[in-house]
Formats: sequence, structure tokens, C-alpha cells
Amino acid sequence: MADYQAPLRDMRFVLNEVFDAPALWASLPKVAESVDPETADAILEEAGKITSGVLAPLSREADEQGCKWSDGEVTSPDGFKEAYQTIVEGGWNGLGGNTEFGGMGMPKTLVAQFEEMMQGANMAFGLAPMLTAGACLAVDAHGSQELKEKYLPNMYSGVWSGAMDLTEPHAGTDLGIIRTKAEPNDDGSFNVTGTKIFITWGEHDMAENIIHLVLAKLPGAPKGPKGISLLLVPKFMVNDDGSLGERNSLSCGSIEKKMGIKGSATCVMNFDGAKGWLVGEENKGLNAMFTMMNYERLGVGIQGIGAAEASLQNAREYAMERIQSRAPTGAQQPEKAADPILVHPDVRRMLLTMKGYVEGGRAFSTYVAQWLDISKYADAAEEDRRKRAEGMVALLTPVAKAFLTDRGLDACIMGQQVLGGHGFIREWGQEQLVRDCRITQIYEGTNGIQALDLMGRKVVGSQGKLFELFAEDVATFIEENSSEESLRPYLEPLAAAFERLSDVTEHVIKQASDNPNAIGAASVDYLDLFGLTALGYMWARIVKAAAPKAGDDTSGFYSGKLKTARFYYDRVLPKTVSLAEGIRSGSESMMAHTAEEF
Amino acid sequence: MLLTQKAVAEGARALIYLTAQKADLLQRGKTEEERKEADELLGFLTPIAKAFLTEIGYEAANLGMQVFGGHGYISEWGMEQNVRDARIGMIYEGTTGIQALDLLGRKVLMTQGESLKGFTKQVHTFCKENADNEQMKPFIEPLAELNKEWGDLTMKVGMTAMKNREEVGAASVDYLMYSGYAVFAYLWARMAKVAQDKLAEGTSEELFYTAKVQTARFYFTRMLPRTKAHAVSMMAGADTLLDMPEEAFAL
Ligand SMILES: Cc1cc2nc3c(=O)[nH]c(=O)nc-3n(C[C@H](O)[C@H](O)[C@H](O)COP(=O)(O)OP(=O)(O)OC[C@H]3O[C@@H](n4cnc5c(N)ncnc54)[C@H](O)[C@@H]3O)c2cc1C
Ligand SMILES: Cc1cc2nc3c(=O)[nH]c(=O)nc-3n(C[C@H](O)[C@H](O)[C@H](O)COP(=O)(O)OP(=O)(O)OC[C@H]3O[C@@H](n4cnc5c(N)ncnc54)[C@H](O)[C@@H]3O)c2cc1C
Repeated sequence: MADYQAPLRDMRFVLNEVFDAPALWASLPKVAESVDPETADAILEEAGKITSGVLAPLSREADEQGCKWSDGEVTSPDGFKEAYQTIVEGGWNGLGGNTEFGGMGMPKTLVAQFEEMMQGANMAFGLAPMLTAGACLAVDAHGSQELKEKYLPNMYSGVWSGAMDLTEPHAGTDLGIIRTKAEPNDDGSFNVTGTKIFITWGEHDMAENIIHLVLAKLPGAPKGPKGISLLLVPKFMVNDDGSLGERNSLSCGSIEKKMGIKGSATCVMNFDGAKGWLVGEENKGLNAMFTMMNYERLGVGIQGIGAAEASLQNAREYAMERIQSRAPTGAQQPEKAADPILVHPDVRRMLLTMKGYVEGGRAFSTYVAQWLDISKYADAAEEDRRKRAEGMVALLTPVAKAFLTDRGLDACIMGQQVLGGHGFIREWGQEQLVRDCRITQIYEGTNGIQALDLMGRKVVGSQGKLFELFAEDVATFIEENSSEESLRPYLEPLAAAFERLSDVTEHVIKQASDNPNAIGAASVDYLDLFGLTALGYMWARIVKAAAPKAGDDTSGFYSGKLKTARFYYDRVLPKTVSLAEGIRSGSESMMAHTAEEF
Repeated sequence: MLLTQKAVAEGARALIYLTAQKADLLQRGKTEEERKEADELLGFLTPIAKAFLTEIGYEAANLGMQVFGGHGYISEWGMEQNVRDARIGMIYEGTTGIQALDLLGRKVLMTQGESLKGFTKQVHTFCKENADNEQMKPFIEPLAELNKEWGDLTMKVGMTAMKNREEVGAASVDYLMYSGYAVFAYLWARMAKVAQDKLAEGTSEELFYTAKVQTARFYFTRMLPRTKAHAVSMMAGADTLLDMPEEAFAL
């Protein structure tokens, strides 16, 4: 297996050259206080060292070893504890955290790059800091001052980790039907009782304490999603002076055997009257979750890119070394028994598809992160700017989560195919990438649910208004660059693809007015169509940044960008034609079957 | 998700039987001519059956797992094992890439398109036989169109391949996938025909045959459009694949 190398060159290109992130940061006063281009660059450099040097080497063995459960205690794979300590010492857990409570206040545009490196290097491990950061976001946005002061500093530092406890045996997507109860005590605390399943890193030996954010129902709460509250439930009670007290009454009943991310513990958590405190208002638990949801969902999309990048690194190295058959036009390396498989057009097709998704996807996740930064940090005087960014985040988040994980899995599977039989064998790590990446299509809202969110809540729900925001952004780009010679081959197909997307959007909005199945019948293909088109837009922006530098560049970096863009437009973007046609056929053929007929 | 799996599983079964039928005819055909025809069709269908079915079979296995949500990821249910097991199909006995070269390079182009014609002739006959059948119209019309496009695309790929041998490898996997969807369209139309005839005659298995017709409709409206992307992609030419210097892959 190729040693994972953090793709710093491309990250710098995306941040500085495609999006001019430093200008964005400078325009957001609160961000400008924390970061300047030099600091950002030093962070990237250091992140690259830790992820490539410390996290990546543990991944393969952790997959073989898995976590061990014994009598409620979970032991993490060899090396995880020490690696976690490294993350704590570097303050990486709190990279994007609120500076008031010990976070580093870095913008998401930068944090996203660190996340990608961490997930690409070792996804099973990466989930622990990721969930901790998510829990911090929820507490910071909705917790009382007291909760924040008591918990956030130790969570940002990582001395305590976080876990999200939503899912129950009978309730995954539909959290409205959960059964876990929270009963109030006189001192303002609650007793939490119930069973949660699939809780990632719900129990482990890497941190001193584990802070669970648990969804539960208060007595007399309304039925359904409007009757759910969010509670903070620590593994160990925290004394007023911050020291750890007695063990709370919660325990890990078992851990699951699963397809991948085996180095992470997936826990059954039993709460038996455990003490907890309300985060945010009673019955508004799902609202509180929504704040962090946009970040977490983008974070899962980034896991998809991380895995895809690792797959690309593996596959291209293999393709340059593996010799098999001759090039169609005759021997290219006659001194050898055969040519490297990189000479075969079909192997190149696979590698270029991966490159198109990975590099385009990295630009897209950074693009979404940029809107997150504006929506969070824009000055009060810039209400319009903030509103627009919020709209963009709402629209693009489900696309980032589902499209990047779907294409991430494709890229892992293609990488496996490049390795031939060796891709199926564990030793090379390639089949592990497929197994690890596969979870990203499921958790944090399955990709089917993301598609419903996009099509139903965001697009149809806003009667196309949110879509218009994105459409404007693309139209402005096309207009502003219409005389740009290097972009000429791209703008026309981009405009055509965008028109296709707009037409389909309008079509479905119309259909949905009198057919309740129209949304669900279109949604998954629609999200795919949206994502492919959005990546087309990203590739055009990449060309804009790369073209002026391609001429004098001897490294091949910029001219390589232009070639990958060409490939994406010629061979990937045409998928939008097929998708649009399928969507237009409507819901009839999907809803005709009775249950027996299946 | 379920209908895609149904269309794949039942369509695949039909393709396997069709291919096996040719193998039987090759061994036991009554005349030399019959055996020869079976031999050609078998050669043509085999790489499609091997590669196309393992590719979409894997897609279907993944969808089955997705239906289970988080439980699909847990070993206990067997769904993730099904996905892992299905993955090898695309690799051994000649990878999909190699099957695709076999189909386009050896089977189709080396016979100057004759082996494809052997198949499209049958499709053509089927379309003609049912041209006046009103109920079959939603299937016959797109099938006839596709059948023609298939021949045209093959011609075009053949012409470019004569000039540049790398074109074969540049187009081959898209060509194979396109061909797979085309063969499936023919088989689903045939199945729809049988089912409609049974329903017209009256049958005690009405649900079974109705489901066949509906799945055929699903296949034609929601899956067959994939040919469009493969058609564009296979004609995009080898240049976009070969321009990239080796070093640039590593950047
Ligand atoms: C390894 C792993 C780690 C996890 N980590 C955590 C964690 O840390 N914390 C946590 O709380 N949970 C966690 N989960 C749970 C995960 O978030 C859920 O599995 C996921 O939300 C799906 O719920 P479910 O499994 O109940 O599937 P279901 O909700 O039963 O869904 C089954 C299928 O039906 C579809 N479906 C359901 N409802 C609809 C609808 N209305 N419309 C259309 N389609 C629908 C789904 O898309 C899916 O394909 C984890 C799961 C796994 C496997
Ligand atoms: C679980 C398992 C069971 C197996 N069982 C058997 C068995 O029982 N008997 C046996 O003999 N073998 C068996 N194999 C081996 C299997 O058949 C080979 O792995 C397979 O043929 C691919 O060869 P390879 O692994 O050397 O890949 P490579 O030939 O190195 O191919 C790597 C990649 O390059 C592509 N490629 C290679 N050459 C070309 C070309 N000329 N043009 C375009 N693309 C090309 C391939 O499509 C592939 O994507 C098994 C393998 C596995 C994993």
C-alpha cells in the first residue's frame, strides 16, 4: 500500500488559488483575529505531518485488530491511545472551536483540509475527533453558560471526547419515535434511561471522560420530532472544580462486528437513570442538532473525499509499477517484460475519473465550507451576505454529504479495480478503503434521506428560491468569464448542463404540486445530477485558476489540472443527460408495484 | 432501490439463460449453420454476461445493503458480506476491462461488426414482429431506436479505431456497458411481451406477470437512459485519456 501523503499541494491550490481564502478570512473580522495566511499554512504543514506520519501507519493493523469489549470496557487498537494523545497535545480537537472556551477559532475552509487529511489517513480513528468537534458545536451553540464553562475547555483540548447518541434499535432515520426518557430532578438535572445503538466511540480508553449528547423524551413531551430534547450525559460526573467524580450510570453493553471502520467502536449504550443536563430548550433537541448537522454532514462528505484520495494515491502508484501487457501502440518500455498498466487507456479512464472526483470534490467541499464561514462569521452589518450564505449552506450541504460519499465510494472501488486481484486482498489496503468508505453513505442521514432533504425541503420547499441562489452564482461566473479564452471550451457545456439542471428543477417543482410521490421518485437521481453539475462548475473554476500558470509551469501541476478538467467534461459530465431523462419519466414506474409484486 | 435490484436480478437471469441456450445449441445444434450461428452469438454474449452482470450485480448488492440502513453495515445481517463477496466477480476470470477489450476488440471489430449484427438482427426481427402491438409500443419504440444507434456507434468506434488503436481501449468499457443495457432492453421487452400475452389469455398468476410488465417499464424509463452517457463517453476519444503525462498523475 502506498504510504498516505497529505495532498498539501492541492489543498493550497484550492484554498489560495481557486478560492482566495485569505481574502475571505480577511473579510470576516472574527476570523481575521485568529488566522492569517502564514498561520494557515503552518497549520496545513503540521497537519500533514501528523496525519501522514502518525495516523496513517496505524490504519491497516487497526482494521485487523478491531476494538475489544470486555465487561463494559472497550480497548482501542494498538497505537490509538498514543495517537490520540498526539492530537490532544497539538490542540487539533479544538481547531475550529470557540476561542472563548479554549478553541482555536479557525475557519471551516481551513479545518476542512485538516479533516480530509485525518479521514484519508485513518477514518476509524478520525471519527473520535470528528464526533468531539460535533458535540462541542452543539454545546457551544445551545448549552447554558454553565455547561459551556464546565465542559467545553476539556472537550476542545480533547482530554474528554464526545459522542452523539441518537439511534435506537427501532429508530434510525425517524428519530421522532425514540423511547429513551429523561426525567427531571429537583436540582435541574435529569435522569436518562434507555438504550442507544450504533454509538461511535461511545466507550473507549483514549480519553479521560466521554461526554454523550443524548436525544431523549421528557415526561409529557409531544409525540414525534417536536417532542425530543438533547441532554449532555458524562461518563464520569464532573465536580465543580473540574475534577472527575464518580461513574455515571451508563455502560457499553457490547460492540458491533461490522464491514469496515473496524478500528472504531460501534457501541450499544445503556443508560440506567444516568444523570444529564438539558442542552438548549426542552423539546427543541432536534433544532439544537441542526446547527451542528451542517458541519457534520459536510464532515462526512469530506470523509468520502479523504478515502477517495487515499485510493487514488494507492492506485496510481500501483499503476506505475505494475507491468502487464503492452501498450496498444506497441511496447513503451521494451527492456521490460511488459509495460506499466498506466499505458492502458482503460486504466487511465479509472484514474482520471478518480482524479476528477477527488480534486473536484475537494474544491466543492471548500466551496461549501466558505459559505459556512460566511454564515457563521459575517459581520452584523452584512446581513444580506450572511443570509445568502445561509441559503447556500442549506442547499449545498445534502449534496456535499451524499454526492461526495457516493463518488468517494466509486473512487475506492475503481482504485480496487486498478489493482486487479490484489485489490481484493487485504494486504494492499485497497479493499479496506472500500469497506471503510461504505459507511459514509449510511450514517449522519442515509444518502436517500439527504436526497429527500435536497429535493423536498430545500428545492421544492423554497419553491426554487434556494436553487436560484446557486444558479446566480454559476451564471455570474459564466458571464464574468465569457471572454476568457482558456475557459471557452468549458463555459458552453457548463451552461448547457446547468440549464438541464434548472429545467429538471422546474419540472419536479411543478410535478410535486399535485403528486406527493414526485419528490421521492426524483430525489436520488436529482442529487446526483446536481452534484455532477456542481463539480462541473468547480472544474471550470479550477481551469480559471490553473490556465494562466500552465504555460510557464514545468512541474506539470497546472497543465495536469487542465487535462483532468477536459476529461471530466468529456467523459463524466455527460452522465447528467441520462439522469435528467430518468427523472423526467416521473414516479409512475416506481409506484406501480404492490408489496406482493416485489 | 428494490426495483433496480429486481430489474437487475431478473434481467440477469434472462441473459444467463439466453447465453446458456447458445452454449447448448453450439454443442447440440442440428445443423452446422445453427451451431455456427450459436458459436458467434455465444462469443458475443459471453463478455457481456461476465462483465456487465458482475458490474450491475455489485451495484444491486450495494443497494440491498442500503435498504437495511445502518443494519446493513453490521455483519450479523449478511448484507455487507453479500457486497464483499460480489466484488470479486468484476476481477477474476478476466477483469471488466479485459472483457471489454475482448468484446469490442476481438468480437465486434475483428469480425467487422458481424457478431454484433448477428444479435441486432434478432432484435430487429423481434421489433418488427411486434411493431403493431399497441401495448408493446413503450418498449418496441425505444428498443428499435437503440438497436439502430448501437450499430451506428459501433461503426463510428470502428472507424476511429482503424486510425488509432488506442481508441479501442478508450471506448471499450463504455461500449460494454452500453451493450449490456441494450441486451437487457431486448430481454425486458421479450419478458414484457410474454407477460402481456399471459395476462391477455388469462392466468392464475396475475400478480407475477403484472410485476414483470411493471419492472420492464421501470427498466426502460429509469435505467435504460444510462446508455446516453455511455454513448457520449465512448465517443469522446482517446486523447483525453492519453494526454496526461505519467508524472502528472502523481501531482
Ligand atoms: C458504523 C455505524 C456508526 C454509527 N454511528 C452513530 C453514532 O455515533 N450515533 C448515532 O446516533 N447513530 C450512529 N449510527 C446510526 C446511523 O446514523 C443510522 O444507522 C442511520 O441514521 C440510518 O438509520 P437506520 O439504520 O435505522 O435505517 P432506517 O432508518 O431503518 O433506514 C433504512 C432504509 O430506509 C430508507 N428510509 C428510511 N426512511 C425513509 C423515508 N422517510 N424516505 C425514504 N427512505 C427512507 C433509508 O434511506 C435506508 O435506506 C451509526 C451506524 C453505523 C452502522
Ligand atoms: C479471490 C481470488 C480468487 C482467484 N482465483 C483464481 C484461480 O482460481 N485461478 C487463477 O489462475 N487465478 C485466480 N485469481 C486471479 C485473477 O484471475 C486475477 O487476479 C485477474 O485475472 C487479474 O489479474 P491481476 O490481478 O494480475 O491484475 P492485473 O492484470 O495486474 O490488472 C490490473 C489492472 O490493470 C488492468 N489491465 C491489465 N492489463 C490490461 C490491458 N492490456 N488493457 C487494459 N487494462 C489492463 C486490469 O483490468 C486491472 O484493472 C483469483 C484472484 C482472486 C483475488
